[in-house]
Amino acid sequence: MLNYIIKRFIYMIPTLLLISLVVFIVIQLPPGDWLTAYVASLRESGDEIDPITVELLRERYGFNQPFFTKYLNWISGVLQGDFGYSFGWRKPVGELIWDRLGLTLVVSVSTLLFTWIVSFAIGLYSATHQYSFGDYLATFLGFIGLATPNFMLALILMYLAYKYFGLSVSGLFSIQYAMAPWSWAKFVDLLKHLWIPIIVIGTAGTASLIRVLRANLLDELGKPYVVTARAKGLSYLRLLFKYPVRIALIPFVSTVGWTFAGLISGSVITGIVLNLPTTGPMLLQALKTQDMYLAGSFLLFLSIITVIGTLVSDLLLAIIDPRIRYE
Amino acid sequence: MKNLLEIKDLKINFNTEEGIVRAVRGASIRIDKNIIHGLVGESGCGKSVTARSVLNILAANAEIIGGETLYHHQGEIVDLSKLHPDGKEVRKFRWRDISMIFQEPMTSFSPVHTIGNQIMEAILLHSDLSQVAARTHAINMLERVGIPDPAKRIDEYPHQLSGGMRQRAMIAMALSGNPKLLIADEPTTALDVTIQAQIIDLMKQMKDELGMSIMIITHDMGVIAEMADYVSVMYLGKVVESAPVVELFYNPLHPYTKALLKSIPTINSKREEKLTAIAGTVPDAYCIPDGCAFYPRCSQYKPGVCDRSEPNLTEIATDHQVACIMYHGEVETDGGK
Repeated sequence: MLNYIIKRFIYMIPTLLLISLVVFIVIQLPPGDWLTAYVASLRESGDEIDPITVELLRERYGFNQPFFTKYLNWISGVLQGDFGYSFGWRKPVGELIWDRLGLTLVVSVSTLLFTWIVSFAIGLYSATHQYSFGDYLATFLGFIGLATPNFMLALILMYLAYKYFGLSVSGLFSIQYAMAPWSWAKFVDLLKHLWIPIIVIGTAGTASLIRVLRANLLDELGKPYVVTARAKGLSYLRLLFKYPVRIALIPFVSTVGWTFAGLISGSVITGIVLNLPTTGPMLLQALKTQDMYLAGSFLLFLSIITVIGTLVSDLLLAIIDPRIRYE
Repeated sequence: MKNLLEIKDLKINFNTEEGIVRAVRGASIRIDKNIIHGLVGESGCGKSVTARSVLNILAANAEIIGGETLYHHQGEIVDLSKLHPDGKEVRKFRWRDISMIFQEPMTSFSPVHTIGNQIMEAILLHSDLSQVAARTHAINMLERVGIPDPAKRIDEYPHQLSGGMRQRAMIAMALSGNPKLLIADEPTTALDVTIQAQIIDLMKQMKDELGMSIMIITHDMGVIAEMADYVSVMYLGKVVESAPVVELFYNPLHPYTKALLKSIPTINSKREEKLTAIAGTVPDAYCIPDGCAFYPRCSQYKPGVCDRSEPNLTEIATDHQVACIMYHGEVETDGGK
């Protein structure tokens, strides 16, 4: 088991290096650079900028250097904790991303927990009461959840919350707490706002996980080892949780990796609609203006989170399923 | 009393989307103490369902609609078929009094729990033994069924054992509660021939050591000849003939039994000789013919008799019962004409 964990950690290193390279290539792919985008936007608003100044700026920011020099400068900076400079915000990237990454993690992890708890409970009920009214209801609601676009759900929930509860629910904090330092009151305020993004981002995932768990559990309930356990005289509930549920959880757990990545990237539009101070909206802005170090750092961090999510799911799998450990 | 288990006129239906399947249509079997009782028949004849119904562990869409399963337990008689399938009463009899092993040793163990965990679970559930004592008992049982190095094997997972070893472990698990009856549902079907012989020997040996009865379900007449003391032949949800094993092989009465025995190759058959297959196919379980279910395939079919009334299992010699109109005396036959 220990060997397996160490092996998995070692595999992570080349994966991450490769990701950083791909990320850097991708953010450089659009023609031009941040200055071209900046000049274009100035021109749109009627301002003109001296081409010589542009060249000077380009020289200063190092946009003219060859690709690998730029990459090596960036990655060696990242390894020392320096993520480069955001041209758009005129601040070091390091100062910009931590708050947003932190809040993104809060939103994503709580959404993941919500998704798991709800879909586990409903999936378990659906499978053990196959073809009952409750099962059909769960299936019906599940498919509606799956088919409704997130931003639509966000708008509906915002409207309902405003109309019937008088809550202003956009963002993650009320105005008076947004800039305030962390306190108990700010935390409570966060909880008051958090439920809408959790429901909005989590619904689609919940619906699909319900289907996954239901199908798996139905499969497992028909397996001979369940009959063996019944023949031993085990009670139904004890049997259910010890054998089929545990095995049906295997695909459940293996979804952590990609669900997590999906939660983070899928929350961009929701983030914009709900005006969340998460990574999504800022990342989109950075990509549009070719604010390369900001966008690159975001992408790198999101990839790291995904890789870690996959690692966690692999380790959980190895705990649940001994057949993986022994391979 | 030498009776251990009496299944009387058992009827089981399956409610499926296509309709009701009458899987067992009035089967009667009597199992005595300390014998091996074989239940033989083609696939789909209801033998496994009958066996599972003893422990009341049928599938969710199956329903016992009639008959009795009388278990003779310490001077009392309990009708197991009337107990609630998930209730405490019937669960007490499972494993402790009546235990069961299955066809697929690969999938009959949970793949994610150790062998020891699964054996000890049963021991701890039905006794007051401590964890340590239960483990010692489990290792002891694994050793008795011939698993080498049981103290190490007990902590292994099913996928680390071979098919034969898994079936041995299954037998160890089933017998660790010292049951009065072991129901073995095609225990050798999924194993290769040499392992089959070993498992059969092991079951016979354990039966003598523990003084229990075995009900062995199989479609293989060879296994019956090798193991059973007494045989019941099933066809389409009914027992059509019951007799001691030697009597059945040398003096089969029911046309189905005769046809079954003719379809087996023997060591003396000449090379040119063709095996006699039973004519026709098993009727659809959704529309079982009126009268004797076997008449469409029977070589001694009497029109106007066999397709009218279904013959009951009748004792025509000591311990030899058959359900065929030919042996039911002239009165019924005349009545049919």
